[in-house]
Amino acid sequence: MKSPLPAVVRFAKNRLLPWVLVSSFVFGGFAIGVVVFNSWTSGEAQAVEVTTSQPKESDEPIQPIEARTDLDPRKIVLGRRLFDDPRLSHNNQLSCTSCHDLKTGGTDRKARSTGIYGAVGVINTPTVFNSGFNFRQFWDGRAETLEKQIDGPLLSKTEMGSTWPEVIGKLKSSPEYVQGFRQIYGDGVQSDYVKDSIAEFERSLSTPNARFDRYLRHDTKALTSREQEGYKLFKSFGCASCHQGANVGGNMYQKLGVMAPYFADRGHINWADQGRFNVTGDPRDMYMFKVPSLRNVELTPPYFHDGTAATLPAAVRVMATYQLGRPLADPEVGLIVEFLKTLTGELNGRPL
Amino acid sequence: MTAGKLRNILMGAGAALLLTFLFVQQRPVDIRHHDRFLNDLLVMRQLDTEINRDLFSVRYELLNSYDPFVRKLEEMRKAQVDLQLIPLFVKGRKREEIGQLLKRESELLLQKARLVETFKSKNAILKNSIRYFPVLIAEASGAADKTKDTALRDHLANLLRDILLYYLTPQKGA
Repeated sequence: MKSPLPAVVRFAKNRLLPWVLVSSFVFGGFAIGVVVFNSWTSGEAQAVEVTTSQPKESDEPIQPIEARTDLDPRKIVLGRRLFDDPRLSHNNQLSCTSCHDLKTGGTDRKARSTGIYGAVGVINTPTVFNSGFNFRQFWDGRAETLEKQIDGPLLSKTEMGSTWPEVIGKLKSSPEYVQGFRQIYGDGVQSDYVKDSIAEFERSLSTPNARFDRYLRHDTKALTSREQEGYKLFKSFGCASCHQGANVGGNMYQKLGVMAPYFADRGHINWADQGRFNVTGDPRDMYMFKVPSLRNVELTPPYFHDGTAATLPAAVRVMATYQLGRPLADPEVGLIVEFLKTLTGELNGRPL
Repeated sequence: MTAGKLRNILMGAGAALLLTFLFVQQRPVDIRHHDRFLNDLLVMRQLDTEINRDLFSVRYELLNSYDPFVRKLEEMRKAQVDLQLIPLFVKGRKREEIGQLLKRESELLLQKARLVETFKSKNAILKNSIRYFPVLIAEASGAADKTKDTALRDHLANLLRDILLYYLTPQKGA
């Protein structure tokens, strides 16, 4: 009888070995695939972490302001050019600079601005400086962003009186603009790009390095003793309850006339005096306004939404009466004004 | 290597690739979108908690600025916009349910933002009033002393004590 061993060996060699090889490849490849897939997904899973910005808050109600370093310089240049360009107005006579002159604190220093064809505005022009730090734009906070804010003056019949098709048409006739927009946005002139570049320019208008900022950074000699005393009064009288944060305001709404009837005393109440009520229709928002920033405040008279306070001491007295409900002595007003003047910063490294 | 062996190896490799492909495809969840969505939800929850904590901190003057509210509400709005991109692997009724929940969440955030604004405005007035109240009581007590009205002076002292106590512990019956 023939031994079956040679036949088994032959079978193993000719048939079984290839199948073992094939099986090894199949399961090996599958295993590698699973391992690679799992390592990829576990990498993704590790990416799940809650990341929110948490800058350190100081004990002071006011924090130093910082220059923005995350802005696109090309957009800033284009935005600056658009900001100065009168072609944004219907009659080619008014630019953003007409009301927000950088040489006069980012305002026109008028109680009411003069718009197209001599139309008088309904409200005092706020400064464009540090507007990027405001939580909302306009006195009544109706615009959430600087980009959305641009529609306001540009389309207003009493300000620039333009329409977007008109503005875009004018800008497209300029080869420099067409080239500029194409270089930055890779596209032609569009209203969204115009808004984006102007807003970027406005965000660049931060004014850091005020003497008070240096004081907050522990340079105690940056302020005189009287100015430091003024800051103490500013806090202890409660001014800092509203004028706080990096922008010394610009981050909340407050009613004008909390402690006394400001509008009844002033008289001639108009539509703009209704403040945030004009946006929400909520009676609780009547006479509510965005608390303005006090940075560079010495450069931006007259004060308040109605421009009725011509000087800083006058503005401080009105605030004391109607917002704090307490009279201030003249020396106290003087000290607070001295402190307020320390909030004047620098623009692009130059004192304002 | 013979042609037969090569064929077997190629068949094996092909089968391995097919199995891997099928394994990946049969996974019901796109893990990247799942994680992105989950991260947004966690961000929302964390920021919501932080805002609640900040409200107490401001109330007790442990925080002196409203900037954190502005920043955190803005971050919540951004996370909420991102949440509107519901992962594609969620389909049918579940997708509708999530859509409804997100809509509700959006309304609640709007409501919360309004309440925070109201809080900021009213809290500022409260702080001013609490600071000025002792000064005012002192002035009034001085006037009461001049007229020798001891009852009024005592009444003012009690009022000051009660108001400050209530400010510290604003519970009923405190």
